[in-house]
Amino acid sequence: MNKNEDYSSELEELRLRLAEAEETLNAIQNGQVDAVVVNGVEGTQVFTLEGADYAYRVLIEEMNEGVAILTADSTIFYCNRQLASIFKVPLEEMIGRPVSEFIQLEHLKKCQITSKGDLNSRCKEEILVRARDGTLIPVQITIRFLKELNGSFMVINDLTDQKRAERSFRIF
Amino acid sequence: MDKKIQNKLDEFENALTAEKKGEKYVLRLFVAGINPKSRRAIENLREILEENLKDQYELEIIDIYQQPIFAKEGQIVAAPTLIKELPPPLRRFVGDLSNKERLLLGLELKSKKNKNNQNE
Repeated sequence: MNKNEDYSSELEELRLRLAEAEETLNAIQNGQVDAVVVNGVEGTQVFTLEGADYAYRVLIEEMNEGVAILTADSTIFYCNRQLASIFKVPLEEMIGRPVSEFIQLEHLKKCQITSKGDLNSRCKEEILVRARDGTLIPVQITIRFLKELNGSFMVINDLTDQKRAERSFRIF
Repeated sequence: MDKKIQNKLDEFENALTAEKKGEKYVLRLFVAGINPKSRRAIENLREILEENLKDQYELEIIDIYQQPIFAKEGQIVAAPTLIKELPPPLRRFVGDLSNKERLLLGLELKSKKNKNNQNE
């Protein structure tokens, strides 16, 4: 009796795993994915299945400025590592969050970005943002709505070093 | 099936679903940069979570281009992929998560019974 129960729970487990494997293959075959992950001798590589604009992607990933792309309701759906490091937040905790969690609403209003998602804006402002550890950071923020993205892109430039240099210049 | 038994079964299924609804969900979504299906997966998932699990989930969204090591750890073969880590059992969903029914069933936020009743 016990043995039968063991078998049936094992069977249930195997059925679930088989169903998952089949769903995964179906999703790949039906073109429902963007990229596949291959673990090779040179480490983990990600192969993009379509729209492989590799150079542009690397450009955004490697630039010194923090970059985010916002959906029409001001959710961050893409951000680069630099942006996450300015806010001292792990990258995986920034993507998918409303931008208002990181930049005060009054600052966003300056750029006409309200929480309701009025994105008809294009601006360049110097503002202070608060990093997760509490430090205030002077930044230059540029936000521009792009119809092609059905959202807007945001570029943030950390001005900490520049401000420090300006202060020491004033002293002398 | 006897109607009485059927009713009991329905009650049981509903109770199970209700219990799941009280649990904290830990989810990880693996996306591939700004590609369209990844964007749709984020939008679809946020909508479903806000509707069904408000304030009751932790979600991390990982860009596998920038953090490929996480993709390896999570045994990800394609992006977008959603992994439900908690509550057990661990489950994965590949694709843009546009099939809301299937996702709700997979997350056990809806019992099969309810689905059948709706179809009738």
